[in-house]
Amino acid sequence: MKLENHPILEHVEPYIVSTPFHRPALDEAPFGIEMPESNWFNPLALGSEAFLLLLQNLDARTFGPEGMPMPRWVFFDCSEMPGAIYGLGRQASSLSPEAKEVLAVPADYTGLVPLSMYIAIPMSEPGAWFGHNLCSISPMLPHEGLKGLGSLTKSLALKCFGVKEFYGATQWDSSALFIHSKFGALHLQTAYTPAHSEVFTLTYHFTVTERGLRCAGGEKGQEVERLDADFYIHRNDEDAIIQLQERIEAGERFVIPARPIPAGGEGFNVPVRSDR
Amino acid sequence: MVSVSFSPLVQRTKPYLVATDMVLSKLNLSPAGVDISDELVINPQVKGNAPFLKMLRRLDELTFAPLGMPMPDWVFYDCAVMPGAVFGVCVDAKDLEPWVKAVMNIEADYEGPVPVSMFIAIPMLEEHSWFVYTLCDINMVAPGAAPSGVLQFTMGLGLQVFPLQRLYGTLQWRSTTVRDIVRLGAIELVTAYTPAHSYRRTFTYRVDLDQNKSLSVLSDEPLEGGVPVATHLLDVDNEELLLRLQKELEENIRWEIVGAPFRKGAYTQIPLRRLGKGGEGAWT
Repeated sequence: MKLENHPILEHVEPYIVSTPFHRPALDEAPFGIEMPESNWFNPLALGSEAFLLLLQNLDARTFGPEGMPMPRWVFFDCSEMPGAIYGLGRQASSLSPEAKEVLAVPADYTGLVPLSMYIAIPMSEPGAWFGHNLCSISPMLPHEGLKGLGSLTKSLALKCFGVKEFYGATQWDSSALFIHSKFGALHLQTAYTPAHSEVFTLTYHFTVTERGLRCAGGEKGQEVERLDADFYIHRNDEDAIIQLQERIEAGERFVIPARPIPAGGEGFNVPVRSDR
Repeated sequence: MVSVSFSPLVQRTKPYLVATDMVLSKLNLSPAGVDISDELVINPQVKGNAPFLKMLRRLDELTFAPLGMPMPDWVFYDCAVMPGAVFGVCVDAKDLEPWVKAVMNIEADYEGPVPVSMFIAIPMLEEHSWFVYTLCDINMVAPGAAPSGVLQFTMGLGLQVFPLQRLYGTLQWRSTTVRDIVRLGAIELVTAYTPAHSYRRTFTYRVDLDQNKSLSVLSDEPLEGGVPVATHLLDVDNEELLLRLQKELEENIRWEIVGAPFRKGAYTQIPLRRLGKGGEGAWT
């Protein structure tokens, strides 16, 4: 299966939220997957309000339970103005009553409803972006055939934004690590991050490749190089995480070379390898 | 490069910069000739810098929490110091009154630098454009806590720190910071009424900068060339007018803020200029 033929794409439509002045810089048909013109939302326009509210609902359903919902001003100042939002959605008329309820879709709303979104902000280096939000409603709607929606959304979004060097931050105990590690080895910048709300946050970087995007997006037959771990850190092992940070600050370099592995019924272990 | 009026601030404050290695190489560490010392270049990815970052969080909390817009720590990391940087000025703790230390949650025996202002800018997809979403100082909530003029000083230096040619930002129409932004001359409105923001009565602006404009913030001289004459006075609390203005912007009619707000009784008014049609047809 090619990414372009991913089964989820039969039931969803892409959308983009971007200012008019950023629109020309975006690839609106990543991997040839076209976006209907009506699915472009200008955050500067009054008419976009209803859709932007649904984005906020999606964020609240997915990040709210972790205590990190995004305030509305952050959507505007730190997402829509500097960068862009890419995602996948369905028309309200084709959503199940359960999905409408989960996403708090107003009864009289008739347009596109976002089911996933990816937000990234450009960094100071051309082609470098920081991803700060990946939401997928899939885990909350397990019977809607949306498995893989988060990974697919991130792959398409990185292609849409033209990301060359990707940076992100995630928590050691977050299941999102399973998605992020699909793109290739994650080079660690921090292991312990007091500047973040969750100090046990890691900051990572990878160079974006076509193969990595296709592999992460769910394309069969695409593999990224996987190296063995030198050691594993349990997702809740605070001492080991702080020690790793101290080694990074001392000049050592590490990667997460592959996806986490189960830890015998107690969460998961994250593989770590010296980045020689 | 800094005018006489700002000399006391050069003496009494020290500039700081919170930046990762990636962005640091793009920034000017001697804005307007005021050097940022090595010890006040703070790497947010280093564990030992947590106490300084904690003081910044407190400053943000003091200035924005009353507006219902405190910055969560993850936003500070993901949306400020990873893509962009934080610039501001510090005062030595020993030069602060005890009540100011208490306000900032600082231990009585702490003697290091205390940040009293903050200018956060992040790069935009549009080349050479940066977005400023925080410009604040402690005087906003505790007048007299820091030297007078700190906000303007911070803004003036901040504009020199970042390699920006076009500045974007958002402000609430009633914000006192509007007075500082208009020192840059005519400010183009991008939105006048912004439902996408926590505060609908927020405007988005942009202004193209050159060295003269940026430095004018720190100058005692009026802006070279002046600013255009206003065609309208906006009552910033009149939501109907803000909506009308927003609809015109969406029809590609350009509007500029051309002067500082002034207050009379219950009314706050801001001089605007409608471009292209000499103001005809608007708000009649």
